[in-house]
Amino acid sequence: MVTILRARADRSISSFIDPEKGTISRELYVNPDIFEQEMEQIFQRCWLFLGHESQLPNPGDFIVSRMGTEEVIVVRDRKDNKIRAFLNSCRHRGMKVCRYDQGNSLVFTCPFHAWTYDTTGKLVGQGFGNHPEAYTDTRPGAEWGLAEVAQLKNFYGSLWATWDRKAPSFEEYLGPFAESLRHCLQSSDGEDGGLEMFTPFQRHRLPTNWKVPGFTSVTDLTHTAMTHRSAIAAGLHEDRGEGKERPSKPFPQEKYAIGDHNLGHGGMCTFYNQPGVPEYTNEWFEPGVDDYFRAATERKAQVYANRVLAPHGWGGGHFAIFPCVMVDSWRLRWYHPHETGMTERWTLCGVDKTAPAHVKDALRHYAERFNGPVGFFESDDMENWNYVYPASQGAQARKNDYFFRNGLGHGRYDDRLPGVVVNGSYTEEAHRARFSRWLAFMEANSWDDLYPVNKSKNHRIW
Amino acid sequence: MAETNQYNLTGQGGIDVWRNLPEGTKITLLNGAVGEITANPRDGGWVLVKFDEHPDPSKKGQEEYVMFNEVKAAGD
Repeated sequence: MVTILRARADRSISSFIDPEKGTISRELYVNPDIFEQEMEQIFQRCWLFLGHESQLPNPGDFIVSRMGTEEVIVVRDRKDNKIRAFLNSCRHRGMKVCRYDQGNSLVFTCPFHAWTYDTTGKLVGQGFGNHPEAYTDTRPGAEWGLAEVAQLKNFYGSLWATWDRKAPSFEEYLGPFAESLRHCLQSSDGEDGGLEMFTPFQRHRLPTNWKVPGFTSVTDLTHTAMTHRSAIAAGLHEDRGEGKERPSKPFPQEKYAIGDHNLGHGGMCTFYNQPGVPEYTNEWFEPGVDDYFRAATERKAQVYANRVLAPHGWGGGHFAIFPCVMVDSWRLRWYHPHETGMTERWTLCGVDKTAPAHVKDALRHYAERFNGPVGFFESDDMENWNYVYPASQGAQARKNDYFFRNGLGHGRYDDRLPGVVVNGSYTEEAHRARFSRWLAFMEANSWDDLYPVNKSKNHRIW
Repeated sequence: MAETNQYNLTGQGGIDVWRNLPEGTKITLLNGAVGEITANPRDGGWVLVKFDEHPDPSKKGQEEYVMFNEVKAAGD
């Protein structure tokens, strides 16, 4: 039985956020007790991103992913082809049963006492299992299989799971962002689930709290001018090539920062004000790549001839799925907490499954140039994220709350995304929405206390 | 001296031999069971065996993972 921490010392959890002043205590980012509570209250309950089905094309293929601080084996069964996910921990003594990042296997064998599990997680043997002086009538049965996630969803190729049986369906969890995620997982010609992911993918550790990049780097337009000044000055931001054209016919659209305070999702939002898709404009160095994307965009325009694009996705900016996933038209980036001040960042970059090799190469090279510790753009971000943590940790630093007031009091609801607060694109509305949801999870006893399972709940605190 | 097609599973070299036993190899267990390897996960511990003979008649025709220390011989 887990004890729910509702207060730390003489302060309740809710007192660390001041909705009137628009401030948040640095304790939320640097306190190990709060971190431990997050792992139980948030990461044991939320739907978490595991990876993409294109990483597991064949029976027996597996990847090792993470859910919070823990490893999970995501494996495609050899018989029924179904994808399942299990805690990477032997039920006997807790040893990892898989120490590879990915591969193909018949079984997962614990190197300690040889407890062995098949690709359905079933225990199929243990060392000395048939020895007359070993288990006899105490042999472990079916209930000693690997611990399996409570729910797993393949959402247009992206794989998500939760440990909580009471969690709502993944679509309910996403709410109005379901169509946005679906759109991001379409190929550039508008085919559902039309992407595959580049492998191997980027993964690296950041000496910071997971919420620094996970909560407050999505929809943070005010950081771009200074943080990315040199990259922008070098002409590396907008363009993948020799210079982006201006569209001949601007597509009617509005851009905002948005946040769903009851679901925690939010980010940049582009409302498209008519059916169809924006005109394609050249942006690639590499020969033939623009030709491919222009033709794909023309096919997509037919798909969307009578449909309005979802308010995110291709060209619409990035947004976050609570608690730790950032999504946009070419990347799924997520942040695995390891410790209070240590986070592992993974980035999956997608490409049309059916794209020719020269297009895939161009996208892969761009992903490598842009992302990660050696990417020209994200290395700028990492410098900030990495120094935020040590500079916020000290006894004096903790007494100085963070400012989250940008745009406070100016948010409004919009019928186009019911329940979502819309605000100016340079505001911190999405950040505040994440903290509304964070507090709800930290105080809830179970999903019964949380929207959308309990639709009477309104967790917006500011 | 009669030729033998049995694999040598002893010593350091036997570890590698066991790990790479091909499908179709005949396996004889210490308990007298006899079967054929249907899959080898190459984890150094186990092979999947379909039994032709078994002291427990209910296991005849069944598949079961067998660990190296239960095996008397591999090969004809």
